[in-house]
Amino acid sequence: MKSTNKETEQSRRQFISGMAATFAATASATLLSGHAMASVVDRALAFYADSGTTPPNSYTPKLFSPVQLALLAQVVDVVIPPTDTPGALAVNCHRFIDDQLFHCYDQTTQRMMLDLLALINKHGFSRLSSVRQTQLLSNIEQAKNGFSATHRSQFKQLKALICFGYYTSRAGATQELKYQAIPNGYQGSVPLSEVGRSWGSIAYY
Amino acid sequence: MSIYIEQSDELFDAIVVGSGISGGWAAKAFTERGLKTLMIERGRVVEHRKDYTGEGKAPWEFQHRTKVDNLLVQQQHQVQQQCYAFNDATKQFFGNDRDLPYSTEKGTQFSWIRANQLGGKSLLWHRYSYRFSDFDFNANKLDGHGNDWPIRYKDLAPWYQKVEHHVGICGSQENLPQLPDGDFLPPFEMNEPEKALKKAIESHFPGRHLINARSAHLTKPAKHHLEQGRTQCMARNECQKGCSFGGYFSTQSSTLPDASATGLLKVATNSVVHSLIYDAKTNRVKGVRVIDNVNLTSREYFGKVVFLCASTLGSTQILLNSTSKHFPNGLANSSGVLGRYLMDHNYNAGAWGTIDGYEDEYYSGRRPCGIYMPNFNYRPDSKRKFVRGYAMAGKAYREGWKQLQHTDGIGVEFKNRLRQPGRWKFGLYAQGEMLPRFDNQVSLHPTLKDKWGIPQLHIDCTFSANETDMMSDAAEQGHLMLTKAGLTDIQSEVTRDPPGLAIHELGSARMGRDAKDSVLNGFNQSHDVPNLFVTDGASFCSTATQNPSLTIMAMTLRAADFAAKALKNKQL
Repeated sequence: MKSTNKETEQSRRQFISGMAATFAATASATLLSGHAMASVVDRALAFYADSGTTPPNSYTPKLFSPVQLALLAQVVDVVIPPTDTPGALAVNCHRFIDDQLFHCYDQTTQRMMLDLLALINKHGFSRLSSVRQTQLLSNIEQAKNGFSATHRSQFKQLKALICFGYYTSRAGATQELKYQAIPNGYQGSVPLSEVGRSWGSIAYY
Repeated sequence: MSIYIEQSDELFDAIVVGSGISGGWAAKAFTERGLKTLMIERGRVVEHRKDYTGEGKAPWEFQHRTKVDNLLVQQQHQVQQQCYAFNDATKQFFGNDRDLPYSTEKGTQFSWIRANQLGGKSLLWHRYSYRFSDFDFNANKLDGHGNDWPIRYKDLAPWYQKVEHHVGICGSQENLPQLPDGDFLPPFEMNEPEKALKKAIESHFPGRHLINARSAHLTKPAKHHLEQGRTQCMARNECQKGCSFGGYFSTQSSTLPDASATGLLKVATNSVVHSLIYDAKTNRVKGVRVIDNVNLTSREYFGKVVFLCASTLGSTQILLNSTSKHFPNGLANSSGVLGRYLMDHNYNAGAWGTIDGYEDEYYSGRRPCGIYMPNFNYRPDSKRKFVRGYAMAGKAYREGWKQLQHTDGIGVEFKNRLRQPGRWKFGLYAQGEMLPRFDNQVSLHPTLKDKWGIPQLHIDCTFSANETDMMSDAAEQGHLMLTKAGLTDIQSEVTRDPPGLAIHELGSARMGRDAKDSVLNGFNQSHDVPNLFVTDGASFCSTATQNPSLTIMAMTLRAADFAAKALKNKQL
């Protein structure tokens, strides 16, 4: 127990210093102003306390600028927020997306994601309350209130990356969903109430 | 003592080229009949368990969560990445396209999936295992497409039985004329919606059957499976990473240990067969010329009988490249049909939809197969727009995050919704027969060679109107069956993908009764050169609708038994 607490405390400190480094790189704090910064840090920290999630170590983005990555960090956590399990930020989904786009996607998709982040930033995402942040992303996703079908498809692409990053992460697959590494055979009929959740272990990702 | 050798002056009783599904069976059959056997494999050694480097890894243990880096794909796996099973956990078992060039005729495409390592595609196969019936063996003769198979069901039946018993095929006894039963382990069970669909479809469509897939998995291993070092299939459905449980049949899990145990097997890996050595005086193959996979030096091996089990296109390439004064157009090619009648299955149609209800039904484990609808067009009917038929495969499953991620929603509500499985989905996907056609040909490229100095293959292979018409029918019938079964949101589709990706390439060194229009006789033996056999997919006269591997195994075992007896009686 004691060591767990110590680990948690260490995690907090590492996380805060990691976030601070990210923020320091964002020229002035226009992107992540007081309110947003506090909320994103608090929400993520709340989960390191009991989830055993590894806090982010330093990461050098490959596709995005540090500013864009920090924005993406907020976006992923609004799309898949922490609940009784970690959210997308706590599993470093934003870093995964940066890395994945760089290595496994073409330039058209990379460009599309950069455009989308610019769009989200243009609407002052970081300065919005969390309710307004959700509204903004919903409007983009549903192509309403001034957003186009193109914006919608850009957002669907990002959301697919967020979901892929989250549900193939350890916490996403094993805590949020249920994971069977070795199922020990197949049963064709079990009550869902017994399993409780969707299977996070699938054959082809 | 290691089974692996490099140089050898020994005169082997049998040389087996290839170590996949057919090569493994040939080696097992020969060594168990007391013959000193050399298995030749062009790729590296893959040791059972030890070299399954992607096995048991969770997605988060891969930097790209099992996706493969663009740059690597672009440089080395342009073709291989088209295979559904190609990912970061399996890519080591697929060929490197940079080193394995081939060309296709202008305006055509053919995706050639390669597995050049010990075990070959037995590590990567989809494991579906179905017997051919006499409706299949009779088909060419009846409608005149292709040549008559020189064998019938009764010739293969006992060999199917032996193979199934050893391999361990799970399935159900169905007593269907077009899909003979076999020696089966219990099937993977159907889930509840599948059971209901079976009832609905079979009552609306007499003569159509929805049955458990038959696949090479140990659902309930028998003593002799356990003695092979294999245990029950764990239902991970990650087979192509390799399986340390030996839950599915592969060379590594099954035939290679048996052959090794005899003490009569030697294996030469990294040995790319350039050509066969033909002795005109005796009209026999004396051995094989090999180029070292790694250092490109050449060497030779000698044997009394040679079995080509190098894959359909691989075996044909070797024969085409084995030229001499007697066989200027390729060894055993007095008929001129070597390279002709190349086929694949056609997967270009499907229908799918939603099953309402069953909200508290779920399943546990990842079944490595599904359900199967045997060909219901097996009896010729002049009223149909096409000849031959198609089988259909599919499964019922509940939507998970992969499907639900595309729905609208942000935040807690979205996350909580994806925590639960969604609706039940079901699909039926066609596996259609492709007619044997003279024009579908593989040949040696006149000028281009690979890094081992072997002429590249040039493939000219397309589907014909019969296949296209058949796929339209499959999509239509699939749609109709799902409608009658009460599904909603039904969609169907006909695609126009080129041949190759079914990875059931067949024909190009076909069997036949007549030496003038076929390469091999009814025992997979060359009409021209008596101690030369081809027992892989190259020997097929038609594709039927069934997955070919089980028939390849049965034919290989039968041919090896025949050759071993002939060798002992000094008839080769």
